[in-house]
Amino acid sequence: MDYQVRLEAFEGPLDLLLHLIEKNKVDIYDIPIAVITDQYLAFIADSVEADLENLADFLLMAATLVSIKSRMLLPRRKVVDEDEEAEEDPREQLVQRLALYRQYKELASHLAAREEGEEPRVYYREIPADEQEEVVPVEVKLEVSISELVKAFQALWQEKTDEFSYPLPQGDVDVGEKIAELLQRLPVLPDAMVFQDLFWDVHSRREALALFLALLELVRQRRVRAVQEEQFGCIVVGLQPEDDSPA
Amino acid sequence: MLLRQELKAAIEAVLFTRAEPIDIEELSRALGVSVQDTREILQELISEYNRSEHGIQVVESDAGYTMCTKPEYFRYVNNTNRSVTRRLSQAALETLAIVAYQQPVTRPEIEAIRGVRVEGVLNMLVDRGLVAEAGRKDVPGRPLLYVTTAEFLRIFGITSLDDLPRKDEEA
Repeated sequence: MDYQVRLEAFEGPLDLLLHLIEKNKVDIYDIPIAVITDQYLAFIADSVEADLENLADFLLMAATLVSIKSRMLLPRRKVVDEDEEAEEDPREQLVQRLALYRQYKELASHLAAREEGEEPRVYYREIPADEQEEVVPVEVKLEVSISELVKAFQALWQEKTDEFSYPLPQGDVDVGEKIAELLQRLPVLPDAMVFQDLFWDVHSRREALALFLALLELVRQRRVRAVQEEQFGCIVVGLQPEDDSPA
Repeated sequence: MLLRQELKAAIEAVLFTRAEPIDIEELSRALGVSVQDTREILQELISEYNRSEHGIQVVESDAGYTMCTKPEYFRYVNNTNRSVTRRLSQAALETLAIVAYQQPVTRPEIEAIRGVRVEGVLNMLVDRGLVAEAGRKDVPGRPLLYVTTAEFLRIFGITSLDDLPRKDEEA
């Protein structure tokens, strides 16, 4: 059997089982366990390489199915005493779980239809966007990663490459010195300085590189933070206030 | 002190401005009348709005009183430029459905029904304010209990959990 659907498409082992039951057009209360188990195992085998968060849950269900299948093969004892509880169908528990899960799946699609406004629903006054934003402080959300900083520096490097002169080496440019310079120059957050402006009076490539390395070191030490005021906005840098550890 | 008719108008004015339910105590403090009187006037307001000439209703929930549209006009509200809410994932919807019907419910109970772990989904729902923690269950491990919130009602356009379809008890 050829499955085009990927395991990731399923919410879990019960969801996958329901899919197989529907596909085979069989009754949930009378599952042909051998057929379904084989299909389930084939499906799992095909998907095992996928890095699945819920793989363990899928495998647990596989074990359950195999166990039920083997119990179904054993001859069933006749119920001798009427008073004694009739022997349970090995599938009983699984069927209960499937039926319950299917019910919640239906309720979930009912909720989805309501969310989308496809079913009669009421509407409340909308909460103004500025009130909702309070939940996530902007500067935390738009922290700039080291790789984005490097990208910004590369762009700057390309752009300014003509401006940079190549003077004869006049002693080494010291990264340590540049760190001290940055700690002096940079404003303390929430005030900040545009990243590109740091380089406006830098005229040699060696100095630009040293300054950038100094900045990276400070970001790594979390003494400087690089943030974006909006997505794709310009990168600004500022000193982390002393008493306040970064989020 | 305001006349009764004016009190009713004042309550209507307060409700109009609110996006979220207002507590009856807060209302009675604002009006300077007893909770009992406030409740009576609110009931009058509710029945007035329930008459067919209004497209808006005043509803009461555990969180308090709020105004919302009547369900029969949902299509027309949809046809206007409403800001579209972000869609929830299937995993989130299934988890929400279980919390809504089983509340208060623990994480292991939800996981038993869905057959997968739900920690991440549940945390997301708490972050988005659709589900809230409500104490702990008195069983070994004292797991946290979860309930749905007023925001849940807002997103799914219901005035109370009774608006949800009945779940067949037998399954």
